[in-house]
Amino acid sequence: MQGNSVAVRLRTLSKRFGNVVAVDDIDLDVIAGEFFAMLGPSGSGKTTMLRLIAGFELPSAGTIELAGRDVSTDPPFARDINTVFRDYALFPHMNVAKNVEYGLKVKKVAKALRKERVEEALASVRLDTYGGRKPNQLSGGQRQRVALARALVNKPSVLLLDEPLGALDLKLREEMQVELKQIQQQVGITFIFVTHDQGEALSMADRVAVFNNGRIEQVGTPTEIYEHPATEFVAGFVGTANVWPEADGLFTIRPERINFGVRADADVHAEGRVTDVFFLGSTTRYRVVLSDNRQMVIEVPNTGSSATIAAGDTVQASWRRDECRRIGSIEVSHQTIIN
Amino acid sequence: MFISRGARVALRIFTGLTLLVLYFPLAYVARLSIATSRGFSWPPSGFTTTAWSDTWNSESARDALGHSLTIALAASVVALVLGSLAASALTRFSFFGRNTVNLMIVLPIALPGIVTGIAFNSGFEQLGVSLSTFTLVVAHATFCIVIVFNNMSARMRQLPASLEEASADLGADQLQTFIYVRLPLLMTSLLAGGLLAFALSFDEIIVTTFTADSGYQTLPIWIFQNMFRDKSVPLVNVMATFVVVVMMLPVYLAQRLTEWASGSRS
Repeated sequence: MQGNSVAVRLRTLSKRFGNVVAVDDIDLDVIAGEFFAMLGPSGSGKTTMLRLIAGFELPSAGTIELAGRDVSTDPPFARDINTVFRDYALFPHMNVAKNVEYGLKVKKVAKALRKERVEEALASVRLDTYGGRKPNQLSGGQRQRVALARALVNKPSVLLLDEPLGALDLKLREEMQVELKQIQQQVGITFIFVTHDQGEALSMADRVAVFNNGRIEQVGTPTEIYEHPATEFVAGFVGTANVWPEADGLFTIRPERINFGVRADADVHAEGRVTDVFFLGSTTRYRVVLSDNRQMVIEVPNTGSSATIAAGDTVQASWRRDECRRIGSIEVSHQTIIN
Repeated sequence: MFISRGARVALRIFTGLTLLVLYFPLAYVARLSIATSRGFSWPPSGFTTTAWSDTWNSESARDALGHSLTIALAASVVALVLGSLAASALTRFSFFGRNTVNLMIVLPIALPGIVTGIAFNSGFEQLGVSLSTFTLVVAHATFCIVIVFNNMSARMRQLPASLEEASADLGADQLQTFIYVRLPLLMTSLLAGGLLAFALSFDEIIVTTFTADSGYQTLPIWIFQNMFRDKSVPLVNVMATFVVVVMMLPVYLAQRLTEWASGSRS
């Protein structure tokens, strides 16, 4: 990593489409070399953000800086950024090697060097022998890797990835998550990754920005986002959260921090009735109505030794008060700008 | 789909009859063009190439062929340029009145040729433009554009916008994107549209009659004017055969190109 230098700096960035504000007055710094995730539901503005950074859309207001240079109005081909598209956007009339070579060819890199770099890039995504294939002869996962090689071969300062794993099945998606993370660490390029999948964002990113309605609700490490949600939206969108109001604000606790029965170190106890049971494999999730009518979600690991609890059962629940977080109590979670 | 044996036989016979009705006259004319028997007499007999060499040596026939080729070529080129540009604009941008413009471009193919012909004839007269090769090309281009436009917009709508974005993203300027990405992907539709436009213009007669100067003959007009002269009938048979062959080629190629393009898409 290149110290703490800023790779992408956004200031008061806005994008309007007619009356719709897709991106609303965003300030954000992405640090060079980090794996940064933009997380949010569809329509939250994260893809528009990506398109603004890539140059496919021009901002309605505000600025975009790349490594200290203002590129707000530059066309895509003048920005040192490459993109992995959601549909991969491989050129159907070119074979894999020609697809990967494209960026070097249009930039008039010498032919011998081109060949070398293409082979290197294909090897890095384990597609060395696929150079002669056409995109329609590849599986989804292979196309995804070609798209990655085609972008990385240009050695951009920033790589944008627009829901790159969305079209893959679950097993492949998990493999690619590991692979993407490894590739990012090898090449050391700043990755900005757009996703609506909170698990993907938490497991892969160094930092996550949570988007809602064109605005950033919170920026932070996965742990910060999960443990100290800055807003009710973040608490609910990232993982599952129990949220309730108290005199000095909204409080939240994660379902897995609540235990059935009486735990020795717990200082909050409650009684309730189980209304629903969801078996999730490694855990079981229970909906419980407490005696004060509060709805709670409790998640318990399936260790095989715990007694079975069924809907309708009356249960004891307990947790530690310091596991409850007041929403927005942590100041660091609002930090979108690096000083 | 299940079809009973009887229905299958009936369908086969019907298909065969249809094709026979369509193609027997063409085959008959082709046979006549190399027959020693005169006129449209039945059955044709004998074999000679006299009619073919006579036609080859007929100056009016050669002129007419030359005119038709020139006009078809010019009209196709005009249609290719304008039709592609129109398709490009209408598929890429949405603007007020887009559907109206779309309809207005496509409409000439549905208008009866005689209406188009009269409209052009009086239009040119009002403007004081004398009828010439130019007026013919303009008139032919109006319906040739439709073919190119339809072919191109169908293909352009299939091309995802992300391909052009990917090209720009990888560092290609607009010209490079056009040459390396857009043009190769549109090439088959461009060729197919051009070939069909050429075929359409080549055998057009109604609009041509109204927009050609008197005495200026395109091939269809030459055939029409000669088929009732006994002496010219053999030449007409030859020309008709020739036109059938010339027309089949571009249409066949256009069809193959379209098939090939849709087969090679991912």
